[in-house]
Amino acid sequence: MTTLSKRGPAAVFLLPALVIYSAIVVLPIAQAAWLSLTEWNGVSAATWVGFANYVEVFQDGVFLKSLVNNVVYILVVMATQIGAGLILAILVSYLQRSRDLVRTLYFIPAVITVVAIAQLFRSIYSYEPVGLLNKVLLGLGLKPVPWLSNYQTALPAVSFVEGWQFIGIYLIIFYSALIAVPKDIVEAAQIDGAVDLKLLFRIKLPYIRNVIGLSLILSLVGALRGFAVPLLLTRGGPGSQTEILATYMYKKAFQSIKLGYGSAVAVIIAVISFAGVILIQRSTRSEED
Amino acid sequence: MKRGLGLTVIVAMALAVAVAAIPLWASGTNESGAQSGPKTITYFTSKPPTDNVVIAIQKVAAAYKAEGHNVDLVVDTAADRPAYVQKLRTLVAGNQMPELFDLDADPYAAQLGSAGKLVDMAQYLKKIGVYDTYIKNAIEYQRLPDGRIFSFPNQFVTEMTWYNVDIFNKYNLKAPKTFDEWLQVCKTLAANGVTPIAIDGMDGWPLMRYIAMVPFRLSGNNYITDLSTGKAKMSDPIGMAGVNFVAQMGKYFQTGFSSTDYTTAKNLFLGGKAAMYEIGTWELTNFISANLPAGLKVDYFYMPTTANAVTKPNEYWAFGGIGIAAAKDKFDAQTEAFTTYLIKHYDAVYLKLQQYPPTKFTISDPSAFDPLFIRVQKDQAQYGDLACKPWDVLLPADVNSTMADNLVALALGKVTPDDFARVIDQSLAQNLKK
Repeated sequence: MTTLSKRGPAAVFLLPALVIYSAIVVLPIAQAAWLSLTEWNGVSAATWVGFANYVEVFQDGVFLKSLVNNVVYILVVMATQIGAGLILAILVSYLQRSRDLVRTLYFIPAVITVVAIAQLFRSIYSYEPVGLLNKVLLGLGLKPVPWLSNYQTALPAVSFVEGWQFIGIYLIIFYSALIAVPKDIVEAAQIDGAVDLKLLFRIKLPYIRNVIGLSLILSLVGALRGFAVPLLLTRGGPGSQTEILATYMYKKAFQSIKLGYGSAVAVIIAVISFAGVILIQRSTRSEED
Repeated sequence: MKRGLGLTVIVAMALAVAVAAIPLWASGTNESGAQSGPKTITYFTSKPPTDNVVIAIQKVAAAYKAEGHNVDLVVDTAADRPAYVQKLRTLVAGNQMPELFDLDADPYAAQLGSAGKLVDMAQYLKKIGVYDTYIKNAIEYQRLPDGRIFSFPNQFVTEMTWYNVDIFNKYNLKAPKTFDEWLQVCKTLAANGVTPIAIDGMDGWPLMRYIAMVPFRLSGNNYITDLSTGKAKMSDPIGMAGVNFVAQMGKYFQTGFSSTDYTTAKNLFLGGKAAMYEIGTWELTNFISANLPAGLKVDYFYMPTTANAVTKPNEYWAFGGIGIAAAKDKFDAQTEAFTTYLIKHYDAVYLKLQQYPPTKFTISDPSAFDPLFIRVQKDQAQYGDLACKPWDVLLPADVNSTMADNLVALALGKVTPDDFARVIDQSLAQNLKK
């Protein structure tokens, strides 16, 4: 105990992890930050342009549209993951049997590759050939919808996929928190006359509010890293309706061969994500206080 | 505790930079020593493993090895063209170019060539005595605007619009000869509940075919050449003619086209769900009678024309396809020997697959080929002088990307032709000023 409380040994134990973290996280961010101050096509030498890329980015209508789209994307992802995860966790906690089976089934999408998930939903959303969702609409006597091509539905449809994939993770988190609510508190509330819904809203949910808060932040940071689903389903289209920051960064860097400009967008994403991390730290510190 | 940890962080970062820099120190050294085992040559392609070009190349490579040459060809494919482009550019930026790879004669190829990264293919083809054997439009397609050639063709392609004969007959329609007739055909089909045109809206280049057609008829390749060099604007009358054509045709693409991929679009037509489908002869094997779905009869027409056209009706899309380039620093004696063998033996193998090789050829036994193959080959033999240059190989990459995104919006009616032209002109101005 006294050994680990000393600075020297603590530093020695932390050093290997810090080296690896620096090499794979800090260094690429630093390289991207340097690249963002240049114009580079990946072939000839990079040309220093200072902050010109950033000036261009903030005047770029498509970038600003991507930023707004990203906010919508995050909101839909978070609502799906946290909302559905919490509701399902509550329902599972009331199940008398097969809880493990249900939890496992909901967790399966989280471990399936995103390419398979995207292909699955491409088929589900398909207009022609008629996909599952449109078959349901036709069965209900409604008109089919080109979910991924319609300007109004494309972004929510794409966002839902990312949200859906990780519902299982938040189901597990919330379920674990709900069953950890102390039984004596629950029994005391029941003695005072609290029944199911009151027990849920007045006792259990307030008790796990820290977990809900942390999950909100984790979901936010995860949604900020969204990329594969919109790229695979719509490539940011139709028009720029499903373009989010990460897909725009990718297009600028690798399709438009403007690696400096793409790096500027990447740095902006990193700054926004870093702000999310600060939020986590402040939230957990205020709880400790 | 904080001071000690702060020092730890600094030391960690310094170590990380040092560790990360090791590959940079080592990159200047070449591998030395004799190589044991087979020489591995990588061919990186955007074509799927089932593509006839890939199959033919692999057959030639197998024959080369069977002759006693200790060379293994590894074919590395990408999921689709955009994924291929992204990976290639990453490999190039990381100094990891494969020995052979697909490369369009576009501004990126010009950059690679100017940086000394590519074998001068015109020189090489002349050196091995095959340059003059190529079909003119096949080899010319590989030529950059400044005259250099950095890739050799592996096919001769013409593009046409295939149509469902039964659907056309049902509504008394004929293959259109002009753009106005084409629009009228589409209008009739749409009015009768038939999807006129199947198109892959995900990949960008199919839509760019439509915007290129009218300007080609009105100016040959002059307009697109001027557009790509800043001498013309999208908002010029010829450009707007192309833009307006897409705005009109967009109404006749299948619903949901913007998220339809290449294979789904093809299957829409082959499944009888769309009346027309524009695609090139690399897909010819899908349309020969033996391979057509039961009950499907197809025919084709070439790019329609218009009044005041400066190009002839027998001039349309004809090119050498995406060529194959060679990395200069990996073009050692063994790679050169293999590439020479490949170029000289490939065409005969490719022809046997009922595909059109890029060199001049004659068919000694027509009965060995499907009648459709022979018919299209006769069309190719009567081809005119000028071939329509695809816009995506002339325009800067960023303009291509902007155009691909905005063409979808234009075809969907979400932007006006004037707004589309304004956005493209802005993109051209930004990208051509540097």
